[in-house]
Amino acid sequence: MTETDNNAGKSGKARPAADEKAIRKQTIERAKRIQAARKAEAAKKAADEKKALKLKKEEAKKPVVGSAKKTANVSVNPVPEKTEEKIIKQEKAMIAEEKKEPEFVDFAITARKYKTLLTNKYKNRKFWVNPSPYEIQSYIPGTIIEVFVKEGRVVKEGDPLLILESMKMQNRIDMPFTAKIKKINVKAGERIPKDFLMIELMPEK
Amino acid sequence: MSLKKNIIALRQKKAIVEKGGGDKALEKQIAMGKMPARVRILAVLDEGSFHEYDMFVEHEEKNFGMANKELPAEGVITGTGTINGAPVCIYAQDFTVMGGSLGLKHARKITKIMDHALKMKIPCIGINDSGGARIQEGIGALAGYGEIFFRNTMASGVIPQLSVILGPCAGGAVYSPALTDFVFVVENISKMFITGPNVIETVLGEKISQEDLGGARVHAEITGNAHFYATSEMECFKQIKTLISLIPHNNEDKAKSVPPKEPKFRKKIENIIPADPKQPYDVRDVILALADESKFFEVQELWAANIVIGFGRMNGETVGFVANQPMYLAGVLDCDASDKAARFIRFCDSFNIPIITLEDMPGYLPGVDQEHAGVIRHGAKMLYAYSEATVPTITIILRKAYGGGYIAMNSRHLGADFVYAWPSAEIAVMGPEGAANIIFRKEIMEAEDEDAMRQQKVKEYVDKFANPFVAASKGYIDAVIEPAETRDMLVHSLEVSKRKEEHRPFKKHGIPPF
Repeated sequence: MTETDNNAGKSGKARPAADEKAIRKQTIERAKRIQAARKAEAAKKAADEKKALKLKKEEAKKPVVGSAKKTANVSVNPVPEKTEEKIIKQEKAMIAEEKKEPEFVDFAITARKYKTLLTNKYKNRKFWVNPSPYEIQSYIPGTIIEVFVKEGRVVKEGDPLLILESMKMQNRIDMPFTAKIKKINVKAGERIPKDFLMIELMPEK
Repeated sequence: MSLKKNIIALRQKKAIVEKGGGDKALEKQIAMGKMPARVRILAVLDEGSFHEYDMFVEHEEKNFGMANKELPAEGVITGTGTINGAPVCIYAQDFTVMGGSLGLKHARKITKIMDHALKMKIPCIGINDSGGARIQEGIGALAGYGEIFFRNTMASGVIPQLSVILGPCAGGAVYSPALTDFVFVVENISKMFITGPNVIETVLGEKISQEDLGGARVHAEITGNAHFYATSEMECFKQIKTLISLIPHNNEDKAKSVPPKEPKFRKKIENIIPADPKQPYDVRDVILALADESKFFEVQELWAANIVIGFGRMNGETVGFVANQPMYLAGVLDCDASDKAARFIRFCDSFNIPIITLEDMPGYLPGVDQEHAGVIRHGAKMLYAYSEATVPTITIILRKAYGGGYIAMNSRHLGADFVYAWPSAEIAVMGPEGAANIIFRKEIMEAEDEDAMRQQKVKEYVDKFANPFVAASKGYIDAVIEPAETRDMLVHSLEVSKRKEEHRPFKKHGIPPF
């Protein structure tokens, strides 16, 4: 069963090898760009966090009267819009948490805050993002085979948007309701991860 | 005279098999930092106790150039031996023989030793080091896996089954360890996954190393598939020996008792826990202060650290400990913690090991991720496991016991045999702050100084309910005890319940919230 490791990809090829190479190159380049961007972002955020932490510590030294002071509670719930931003935010949160590791953090359960350590798994958990009906995301990772629509067009409910191939199955993604195509973030041949924002919609006015 | 010739011939034949895949493959195995399969078996078992079976089994595959291929011992060594005098069945896949790949006869050797273990009612230890299915055999290999899984399931709860991952274990092969009771992994050596990095990269374009995808640390910390994590094979074998010494041979036996010894832990038990319910401490210190010789053999140390499980001895007898860990995530119950504890409770119940529960928890972990991960279903596993258990169960409430968590942590209501509380115990439907906010909402809102009023009401609530005496007055707690009395109380309770008999309605089997 394991040996399929080496063969699985080969059996499902529908495109010529040269094409395959080009796609791979593209994907790698894209990933590199994203990684570089994330790294820069993370470094900047880390520096910011350091500053914020310093400020907070100074604040903590001052006597606080009455009102409950806001602590760096872990239950902050950011509402990022794009997948990439989401990942960056998670990374930021991870970095912030790592800094605090040796100290106990405040951890709120109902109305009380407990001093405790956090597990890595908890720190790396996914934040909830309210899904927007105007965002068509990939429910499975795969390759875009064909895109049928163009930006700016109004598409009727049930009409096909694109074909996403995954696990050797070609999945047709249909329009969920009649709306205008605002932006298309994928093109044929592109390999995309899960929860990738493929198409953005807008009301047809 | 002629017999001597036969004996020499036998010895020669054995020597060939014992060489495994040959010197070159052996060198490769050692270069990878791995021990040869036969050496591993000898290292786990008592000296001179290993007896090997089925040395001369041969495969029957004729396709793909397999007809003339000789595979010494069919790539798996099987036999019996003893660990600290306790008999066990053992098998070890030999990576030097065709990558330890599993063909039908290879699998049949394993199922034979498993059948043997089940008949003889002794533990079965499997050392996995295999590249996966022997592709040349096709369906035969799949049949082999299926036959192993079936026996894993039949033996589950009858004899202890241990899986040791000392190499790759991928694809279908991972399900045998998953069905067994305890999985051992070793840093840099163990690799477990359903689909390897190659498939993931070709299908999804995600690049990840074997170690990051399914290395020892991943399974010990993130997935919870592994129960024991070691940094070397020798350390891993030591863990196996310790575990075998703590658990019984089968579900009709009791674990071997040893002469009782007092705890060595020096710190006074009442000084371990801070009086402030918001302050953390390491609950393992409490266990060390209670257990014989202060020895505690922790299971799944790294995964779901907010609950601690493991084996120790009380008065010479093996017991299982389940304890909330305020050090991590305030000791809350979440999906993973419930999963972890529930499985451990069921193991103890199957193998006649009494369970001691130490409770100090603020409730279930709030959060969208938890709710969507099915904390209802996972949390229910714990209720199920405790309710189902008929071994002696003792609960000690150390500090907080709030809400659903109070019920889940083996309360009287789930059938605990003994429930004790320390004077620091707080048994309430929720934390005082939360409760006061709800009960006195009107008073607090109408007050001139809301905060002052809230403080006052919280204090009122604390005075009235944040203690063990309300529950004690209803008989839900058998005794409020001083921390220093705990060990005596536990030893006595275990003594009293030695002949415990409890029956459940007849059923084929329950339907736990898997």
